[in-house]
Amino acid sequence: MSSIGRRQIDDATLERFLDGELKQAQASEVEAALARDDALRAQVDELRAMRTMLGDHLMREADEADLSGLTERVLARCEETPPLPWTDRLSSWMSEVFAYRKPLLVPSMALATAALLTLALPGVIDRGPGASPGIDGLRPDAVANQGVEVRILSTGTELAMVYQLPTTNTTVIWISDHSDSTEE
Amino acid sequence: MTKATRSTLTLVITLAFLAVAGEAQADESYGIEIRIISAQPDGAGVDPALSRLSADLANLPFKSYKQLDFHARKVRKGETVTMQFPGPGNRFLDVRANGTRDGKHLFRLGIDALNFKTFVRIPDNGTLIVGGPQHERGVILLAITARAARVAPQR
Repeated sequence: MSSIGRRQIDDATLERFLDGELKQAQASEVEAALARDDALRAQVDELRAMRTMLGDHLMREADEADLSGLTERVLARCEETPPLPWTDRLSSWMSEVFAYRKPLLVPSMALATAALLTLALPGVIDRGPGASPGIDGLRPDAVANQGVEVRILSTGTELAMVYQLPTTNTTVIWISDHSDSTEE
Repeated sequence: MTKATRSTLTLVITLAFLAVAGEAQADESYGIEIRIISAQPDGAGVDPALSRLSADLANLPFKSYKQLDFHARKVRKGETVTMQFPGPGNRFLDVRANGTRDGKHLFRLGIDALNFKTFVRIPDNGTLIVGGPQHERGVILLAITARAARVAPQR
């Protein structure tokens, strides 16, 4: 069985499928999965619909945009913008690895961890009892609530705002509601 | 085969097993908690049932918060949970579970009455708050929390 067929097809693969970026064999496998999986087909239909809607919206925005002096403005911004910190670049790279190279990631990490532990284990053992590296300082609740991702958002013609609460990192989507306030 | 080679081989097999187990776990069901909250510009205090969210609510510009409804259950990919909330007309929040990817739980949220639809990824114990629908003099807040292993008792 092929690599795609053995597991669920992830969003990144579906998006690449819709973009026509998959190789012929992979695209055929996705098409086969779509033929037998109603939920997956519904997911792709929704993605297509959202793309069409977003595309129409962006085309309207582009039609109305003032592009005069665009090159000069972009170049001016480039000169003003400092390079990203290395932590941001590393984070971006890691995101890409997780999104598109996950099939290689698990075995690679397993082998790398095995190699690392094989090399490091004697050193740890030599440190004697009570000297384990430990993670006492790590509070699970401090990292658990990070990173709600809002992937696609649609509110018809109304506006919506997405932001994170400063103290808890909880994500909030605020939608406008202009309907008649008489409740039934 | 030397002792060191055997140890290394055992370690590799163990890690491979853990990796496969991790992939298998991604297919399991996960918990979702949905709270319907009334946030009002008058009154004072936070409903004790909302103690888990009190830090979040403290950041919002309302004076009182009351939990109107709560639902917690386990869901599998493709399942949809629907909850009605107060407001003009019939208003329903649809939450469809779209599986787990990279340690985050995927959901599609929709409120047809408001033409609202979004696809989100919520980490374990993470909460997404959708606010804005009118209710009395304030608004409705819809708090969606995802949990990997367990579901909180009904309150």
